[in-house]
Amino acid sequence: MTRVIKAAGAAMDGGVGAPMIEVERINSYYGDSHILFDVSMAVHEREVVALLGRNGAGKSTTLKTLAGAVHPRSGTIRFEGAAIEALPSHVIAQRGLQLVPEERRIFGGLSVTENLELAALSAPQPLPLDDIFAIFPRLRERRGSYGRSLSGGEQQMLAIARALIRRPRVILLDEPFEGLAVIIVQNLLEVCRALVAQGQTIVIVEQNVRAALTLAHRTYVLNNGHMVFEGTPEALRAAPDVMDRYLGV
Amino acid sequence: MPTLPQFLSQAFNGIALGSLLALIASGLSIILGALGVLNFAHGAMFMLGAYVAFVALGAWGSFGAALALGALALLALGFALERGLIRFYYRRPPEDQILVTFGLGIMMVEAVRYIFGPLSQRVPLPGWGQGIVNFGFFLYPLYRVQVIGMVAVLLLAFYVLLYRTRIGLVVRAGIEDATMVQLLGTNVQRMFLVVFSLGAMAAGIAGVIYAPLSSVIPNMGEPFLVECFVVIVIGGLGSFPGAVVGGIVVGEILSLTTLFNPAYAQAAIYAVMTLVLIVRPRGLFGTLGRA
Repeated sequence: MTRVIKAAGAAMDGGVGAPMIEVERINSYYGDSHILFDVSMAVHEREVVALLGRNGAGKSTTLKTLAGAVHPRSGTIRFEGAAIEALPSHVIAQRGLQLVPEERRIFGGLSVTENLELAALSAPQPLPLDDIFAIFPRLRERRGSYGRSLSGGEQQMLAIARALIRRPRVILLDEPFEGLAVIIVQNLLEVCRALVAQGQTIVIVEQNVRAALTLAHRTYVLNNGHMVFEGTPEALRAAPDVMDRYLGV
Repeated sequence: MPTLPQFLSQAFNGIALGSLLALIASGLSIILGALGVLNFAHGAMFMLGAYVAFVALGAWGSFGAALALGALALLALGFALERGLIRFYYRRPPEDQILVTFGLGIMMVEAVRYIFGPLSQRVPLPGWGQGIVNFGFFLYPLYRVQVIGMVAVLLLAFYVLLYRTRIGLVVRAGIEDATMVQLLGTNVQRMFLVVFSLGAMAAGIAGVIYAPLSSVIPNMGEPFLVECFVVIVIGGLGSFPGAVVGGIVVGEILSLTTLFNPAYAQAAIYAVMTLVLIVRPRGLFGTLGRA
């Protein structure tokens, strides 16, 4: 039943499928500080959603809340129809919602291969290592190196590779291009485009608005923890007041 | 000045003592690294192992049975304590964790004192451990050589578990960043249970092995606990190789200093610890910085 509805939805909506993630009025806190205020958003199958906003707008917190690293005090998050807002983060990851955190969080004392093996442990059908190395040839060269000896770009490749090896339903990318050289950003953008072409669902948070807009089908803009804009990249570009006020572009 | 045979004999004592310290400290260090809990009851678990040896050898006269029973008893105790108590303290402040494990240690010591009395007990050497080895220019007790062998086998088993198995991979990753392990779909709580239980088991086995070397008394674990803290600081928090090397280093310092002046033995390990902290604040093998 569900598959038919998804297919129909996809046909109507230019390749984008049924809603996968439905966030309704979540409120998240760090300790006593209120970070997200009644944030609602949706992500559809095979869709790339860019979550934009200034520093401290609540973008990372939104991703962390989706991944279960932060639990909202109120509101609901549905993933493929089931409520997940109260689930522990490892269960959410097992269901296929995979966060690639901002700080990359590579295990420095584990080799590249061990980092990937650890990520694959709880995945039902992990990608073979060779497939990962075909996407990131650099990681094959460095497969025996400790995580702590990798460059920033290599660490980001490994962070994304750890997500990909799990064959996630949705990848949550938090600032994947931050602090990387232009050539590496282009390399990672190509990888992302290839994933999008294969129908991978992605939610991306990025300060680099231009890079994010080249990937995204739809955008949300957060400001001080409030959702202030939702629309296509074209609509966002056509709204200079939003670009100026909330993104500083 | 001590003679060369005296010196060598004492150096061997250092390895025997150091290997036991390494076995106890590796459990303590990995529990601290992975779970973030400093287990002040670890010395009391070592003591419980020694009392299991006392009871089992009295009942059956078999050292093998004592080893098996000591390992199983402490494994079960570690399992029960983690499930029933320790896991509720992972998110609590360190002072709460210290209070609860410190309290547990006191309860274990007092329970043993209540049951067996405050006086020391003797545990006989196993039959196969009686005798002297002739190393050519000095004589050395056979059982101490066997202690080094038994502990070496156990440490090797620990190494294989940590570096060649899936659970070891999760433990090593969890020592670095348990939250990220969780975000990659692996339930770290189950790993915590395994680590705490195996750490308790290692302390228990060390207690069984140590029992025939000395007298068994309720508070025998306290000096070992303190020395193990020094081992962890020297070797590096959460580091298995660090616990092994740190254990041998502390064992040798204690033994060799005793040769010249026993009064300085304890001071010497703190002097070396201070030196290591000045040169390498994270310890010899440590990569973790922790306040």
